[in-house]
Amino acid sequence: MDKIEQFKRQLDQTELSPKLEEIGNVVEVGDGVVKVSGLHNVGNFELVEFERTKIFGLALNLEEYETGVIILGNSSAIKEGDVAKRTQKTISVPVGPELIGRVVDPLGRPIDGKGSVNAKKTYSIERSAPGVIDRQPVVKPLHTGILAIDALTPIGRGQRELILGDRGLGKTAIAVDMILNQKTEKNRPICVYVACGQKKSKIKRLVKTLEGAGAMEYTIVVAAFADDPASLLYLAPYAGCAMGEWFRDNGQDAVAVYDDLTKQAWAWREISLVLRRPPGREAYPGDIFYLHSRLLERAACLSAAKGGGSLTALPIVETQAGDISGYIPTNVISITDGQIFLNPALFYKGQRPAVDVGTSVSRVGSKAQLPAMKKVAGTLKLDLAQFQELERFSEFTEELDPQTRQLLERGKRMRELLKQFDLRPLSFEKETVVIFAGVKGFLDEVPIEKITQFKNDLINEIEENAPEIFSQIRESEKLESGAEAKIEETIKRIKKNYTK
Amino acid sequence: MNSKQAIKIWNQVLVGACEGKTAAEQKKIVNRLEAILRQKKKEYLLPKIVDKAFAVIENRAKLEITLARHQSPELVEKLKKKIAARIEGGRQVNLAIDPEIIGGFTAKSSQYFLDASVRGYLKRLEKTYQQ
Repeated sequence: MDKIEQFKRQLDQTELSPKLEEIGNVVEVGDGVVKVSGLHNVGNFELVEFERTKIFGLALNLEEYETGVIILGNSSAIKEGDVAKRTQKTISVPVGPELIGRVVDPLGRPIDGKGSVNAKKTYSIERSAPGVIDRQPVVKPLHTGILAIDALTPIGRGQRELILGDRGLGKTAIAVDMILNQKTEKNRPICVYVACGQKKSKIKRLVKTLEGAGAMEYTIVVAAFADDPASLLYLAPYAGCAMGEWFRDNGQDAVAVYDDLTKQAWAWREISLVLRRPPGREAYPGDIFYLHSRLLERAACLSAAKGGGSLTALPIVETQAGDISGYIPTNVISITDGQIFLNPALFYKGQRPAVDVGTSVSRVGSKAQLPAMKKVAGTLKLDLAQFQELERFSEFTEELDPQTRQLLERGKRMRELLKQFDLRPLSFEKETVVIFAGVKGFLDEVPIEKITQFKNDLINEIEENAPEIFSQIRESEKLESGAEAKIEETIKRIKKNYTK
Repeated sequence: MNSKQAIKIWNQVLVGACEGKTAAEQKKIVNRLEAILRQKKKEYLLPKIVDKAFAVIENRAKLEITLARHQSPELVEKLKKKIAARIEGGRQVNLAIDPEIIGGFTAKSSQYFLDASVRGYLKRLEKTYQQ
């Protein structure tokens, strides 16, 4: 009875007056783009529905007599003469906690076979970035679990840090390690991984890895595959950003990984050329900078009045032959608050992750480091840069004074210490202890080839026999002198097995 | 500018100039266009421009009204007037019968679609409840 009453009430509230819709006709079909005549009052970025196929499109080029519409689906199904209807809506995606653990396409439709996403809210994918008043400085660290990053180019929550390098150097691996490392983090952020133009097999593997590590409990994957239309590749980062923004706006922390923006730029170039927009440098359209700047500006650490949430952006850009002065890399470098550059020469020398200390930078810097890390890694970057200079110089001479020789030996050990395997991020307290051992010179007598082994032994020893060191660092976020003494003691004990 | 682009642009100009004009006025405009094209030594484009432009004008003038069943001529006339007040264009009205719309009517011009059918109401109702 209640249900019938409810139905009656809803029926009374439903607007049933005749509906006048603005329509147009498809006059030209291109690759993923159609020209529609009519639709005179259509707005930019308005969704358009093709009546026969029920496929949606996005109005982009508003000309005097025609409208250029990009197709969000199979463009070959659309024929000349098809009727296109205005929807008077901008494109939006479902947002909220219901998306966590799901794999969705750039329109928010599930592609993981786990049924529909019953999200209660939607966000427009094109939203303006928070203003200056609504922001606060980035001070909270986002630990990646990668020594070379957390110690040398620390990332803060709300920061935009670019990861760039040639193909196959481990750019995605850094992002995945970062996601895995959040599992044990305090105030765990929600991670949004946006795959833009990636292979299906790669995404399948990635999701399996995340599921295996229990990381899908706090991760959303937005996937636009290599064989998807350019329109979906173009929209994927914006959709992922909108999903992350919901958490930011609700006082939580979120991280969005855009993997990668080079492919998004290619997709936008393709769309722009088919829409006959004037091509510029490397045939990219004039608004290629704006494509990325309006996306990355949405990453922010909000003020306490706005809930104090944050959205960190980790865009990934692919370089060609290690050239960071390419058009897209330089654009994105200038937008972000720093970059992590993966050097092919280091990679092939066996330095993994191949983070180039000299070229990588974080403009937020030590402000986004906890006191313990700040204390141990304070001079590390400078020391390593000095070491690299000396190493280059030492290639030309045999005669080196003992002090220089010692600097070189310590530098080699530090470099070895920063090596890390894929999918094995270290928690913040472990990183602190490992770097402490290196910078204090405790490894100077340990043979270089045994540094990794030493590192593992040190972590295991503390975990088994002095776990209070880790818990103290984790809780207080500081490295007290008492803990330092205990670490020194442990190091000396292990070192006996390594020194002759 | 290649021929394809020229046809497109002239076609749009001609549509804008001829729409809503009488046949005599339209003939005058076409003659003027022919003179301009001759000056530019592009008179061979004229048939294509004119054919395309008049197809567009004709399409824009069409108004298709669909009813669920036959109605009296008075009612149809009244309906035409009411629809013409809401939808611009529509000098050439075609009447169709489609029992699938159940009741009411639909009207479709090149730029608008007015749905006042029972089927349309039910579809909107369905959409409301799905949400």
